[in-house]
Amino acid sequence: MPKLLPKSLPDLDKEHWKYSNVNAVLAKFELVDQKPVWEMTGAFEFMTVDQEDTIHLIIPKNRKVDKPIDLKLIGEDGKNLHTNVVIDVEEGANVKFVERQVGAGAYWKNISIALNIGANAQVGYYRLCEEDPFCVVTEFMTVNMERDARFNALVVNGCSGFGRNEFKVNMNGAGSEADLAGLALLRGKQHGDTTVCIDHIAPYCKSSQFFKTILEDNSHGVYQGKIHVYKDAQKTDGYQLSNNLLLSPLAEMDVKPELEIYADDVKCSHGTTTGELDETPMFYLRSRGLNEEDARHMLIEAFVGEVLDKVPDEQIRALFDDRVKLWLK
Amino acid sequence: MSDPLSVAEQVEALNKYEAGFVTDIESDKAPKGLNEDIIRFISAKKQEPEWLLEWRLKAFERWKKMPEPNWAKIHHPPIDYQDAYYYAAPKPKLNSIDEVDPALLETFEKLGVPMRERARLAGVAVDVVFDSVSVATTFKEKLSEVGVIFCSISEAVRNHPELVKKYMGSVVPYTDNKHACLNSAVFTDGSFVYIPEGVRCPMELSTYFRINEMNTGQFERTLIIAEKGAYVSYLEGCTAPMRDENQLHAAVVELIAHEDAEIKYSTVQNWYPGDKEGKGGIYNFVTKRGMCAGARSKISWTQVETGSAITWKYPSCILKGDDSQGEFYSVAITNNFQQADTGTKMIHMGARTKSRIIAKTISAGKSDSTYRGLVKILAGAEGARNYTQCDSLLIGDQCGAHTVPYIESKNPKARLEHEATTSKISDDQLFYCQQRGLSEEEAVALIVNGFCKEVMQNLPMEFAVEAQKLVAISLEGSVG
Repeated sequence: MPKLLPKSLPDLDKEHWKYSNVNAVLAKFELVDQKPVWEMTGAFEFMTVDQEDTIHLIIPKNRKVDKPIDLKLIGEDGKNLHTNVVIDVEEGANVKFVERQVGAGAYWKNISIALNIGANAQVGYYRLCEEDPFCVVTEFMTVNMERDARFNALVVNGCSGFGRNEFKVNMNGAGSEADLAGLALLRGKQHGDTTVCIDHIAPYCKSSQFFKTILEDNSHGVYQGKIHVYKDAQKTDGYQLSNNLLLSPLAEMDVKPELEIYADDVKCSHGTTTGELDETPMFYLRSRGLNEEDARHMLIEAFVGEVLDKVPDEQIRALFDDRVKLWLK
Repeated sequence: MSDPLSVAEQVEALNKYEAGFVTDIESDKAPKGLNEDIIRFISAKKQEPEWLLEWRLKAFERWKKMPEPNWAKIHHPPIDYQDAYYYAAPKPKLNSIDEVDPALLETFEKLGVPMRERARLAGVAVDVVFDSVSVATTFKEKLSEVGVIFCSISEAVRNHPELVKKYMGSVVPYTDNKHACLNSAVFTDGSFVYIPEGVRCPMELSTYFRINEMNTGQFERTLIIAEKGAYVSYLEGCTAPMRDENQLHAAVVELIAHEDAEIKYSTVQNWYPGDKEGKGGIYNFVTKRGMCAGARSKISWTQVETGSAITWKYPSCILKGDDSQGEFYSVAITNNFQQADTGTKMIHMGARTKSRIIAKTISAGKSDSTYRGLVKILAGAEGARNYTQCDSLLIGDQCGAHTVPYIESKNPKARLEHEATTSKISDDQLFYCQQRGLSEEEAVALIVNGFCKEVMQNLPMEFAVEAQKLVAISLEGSVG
C-alpha cells in the first residue's frame, strides 16, 4: 500500500525545502477541499479506484500499449486538490503516459504518483504543466524499478505560480536505467523547484538527470538533484547536468547537485552552469547577418532543444516542442 | 576491492601515527566545566580589559540559547560541555627560548619542529601554541623592523587593543554559529598578525598548535589584518598526542584584506583521528572566514586535512571589494572511522569578483567525507566568475564520499561552473606503476599524490614536503 499524501508540507527548516517556502505561499490562499477528478484517456481498461479514492492503473504482464495514456487534471479557483495515483506496470509491459496539468485561478494541487515498474518493463512518462500563474502545484513522483526496467521521463514546467516537482527513483533491480529530463520556463514571479533523488540500491544501474531552466523577470528557479549510491550498488553509472539561463537581473537560480556515494567502483559525475547566453556563439550568429533578436531566439531554441531530444517518441516530442515554442514567443 | 588483509594493514598504518605521546608538564588549570566564573577566570588570567570580558560574557549568554548546527553529515554523541577544562597553561612564564621547559622542547623535537634550527635554516618564525599559552616567539625583532606585528592574541589585546577591538568579531561575529560563539566566550590564545600598508612580509609566518592537557579543548582565535598593498603567507600546522576521550576544538580564524592586499593561509591538519574502532580523536569544529574588504584584494585558503575524528570546517571568503579574488584548495583524507564535512563559502558581493574552488576528497577504510560548498552571487556582483571542481576518490567499498554544492545566483552577468567526479584508483594505473617496479603501496601513494597535485602545488615549500609524506602515511595499508 503506497503512503498517502500528507495534507501539510515541511517548512524551510527542512534542508530539503530550503529554497521553497511553500507554506508561506499557501498561507495567502483560502481554499476548500475538493475531490479531484482526473480525465484519463486510454486508461479505462486498466483503472480501478479504491475506497480512499486512490486511482490504480495496472498494465498487465507483457502488454504493449501503443497509444500513450493521457492523464489530465484540471484545477479550479479556490480549490484544494489532493490526489493519489498508483501505477503498476507489470513485468515486460511497455507503456507511455502523457500527463497534462491545466487550470485557472488560485488553487493548490498536491499530487502523489507512485509508479512501480516491473522487470524488463518500459515506461515513458511525459508531463506538461500549463497551470495558472497564481496556482500552487506540488507533485511527488515515486518510481520503483525492478531488474532491467527502463524509465524515461520529461517534465516541462511552463507556468505555475509556485511549483515543486519532486522525483524519487528507487533502483531496486540490477541493470535498470532511468533517464530524467526537465525544462522549467519561468517568468513573472514564478517559482519553479525541481528536486530529484535517485537511489541506486542495486548494482549495474544507470541514471541520468538532465535539467534546464530559463529565468526571466522576477522568477526564482531551484534545482536540487541527488544521486545516492548504496554500498552494494557497484558499477553504477550516474550522471547529472543542470544548465541554467539567467536572463534577468531580478531573477534568482539556486542549484544543489548532490552526490552521496558509498560504493567504490562507480562512475558518477555532475556538472552545472548558470549565467546568461554565451557571447561567442552570439557573436558568430551576428557576424553571419542575423539580428540580435533572431540570434538570441535561435540560441535559446537550441538550448531547449537538447532537453526535448531526450524523448524518443516523435509524436510526443512534437507536442512538447509546440508548447515550448509558444512559450518562447 | 578490499581484502581481509587490508584491515590488519590499516591497523598497522594507524599505529604509525607519529605524534602520539604526552608531555608531562603540570598545568595551571581552571576547574572543569563552563560557566560565567570560568570565563571571568580566563579573562583575569589574561589580564584582559573590561570590554573584552563583557564581549565574552555576551557571547556566553548567546551560546546558551543557540542550537547546535545539525546540517552536516557527521555523527557524534552529544557533547558534554561541562566535562572539559577551558583553561590550561604551562606554568613558567618565559621571555626567551632558553627558558622553555626541556620536556616541552623535546615534544617539539619529536614532532620535527626543532625551533631554532628550523627557524634559522628555513627562515620561518614559529609562534608555538602549546596548550593555551604561547610560550615562545622567534624572529620577532626582524619582523618588527618592517613594522609587522606577529604575536599571540593575548599580547595583542594588551599591546594593540585598538586593532583587536576594531577587527575581532568583524568577520565572524560571535552570533555566527554555536562553535564560533563558544570560542568567543572562552578563547585562550591564538595568533595575531598585522601587516602595515605596502609591506610584503619578509618570511612565511607559522604557528604550530598542540593539544596536550587531558580533556582540554583548544579554543584559538587567529586574527590577520593586511593593510593596503600588503602581503602575507601564514602557515598553520597541527598535531596532537594519542587520546582516549574526544577533545573538542573550536577555533575561529578571521582574515581581513584591505585594498590590493593578499593573504595566503595554509593549513596542514594532522590531529589524532581516533583508533581503528573510531574511539577517541579530536572534534575539529572550526570557523574560518576571510573578508576581501578592499578592491583587488585576494585571499587564498589551502588546506590538507588528514587528522581529527570529525572535521567540520568551511574556510570562506567574502568578496566585498570590486575585482577581489578568493581561492580555496583542499585535500581531505579520511581513513578508518573518520568523518569530514568540509568545503568553502564564496560570497560574491563586488563587481568582477573571482573565485576558484579545487577540492579533492579521498576516503578509505570505513570513513565518510563530504564536500559542502556554497557559491553565492549577490545582485551587485556584475561579471562575477566562479569555477568549482570537486573530485572524490574512494579506496575500498566500506567508505563514502559525498558532494553537496550549493550554487545561488542573482546576477545574469555572473558565470558559474561546477564540476564533480567520483572515482576509484583504476586497475590500469596501478598495473602500470607496478610493472615499473613500484610496490602497491608506493603506487597508491604516487597516484593519490598525483590526484592531489593541483592543491599541493599551492602549499609553501616546507609544507608541501610534509603534506606529501602525510598523504602516504594516512593511506598506508588501505588498498587491498
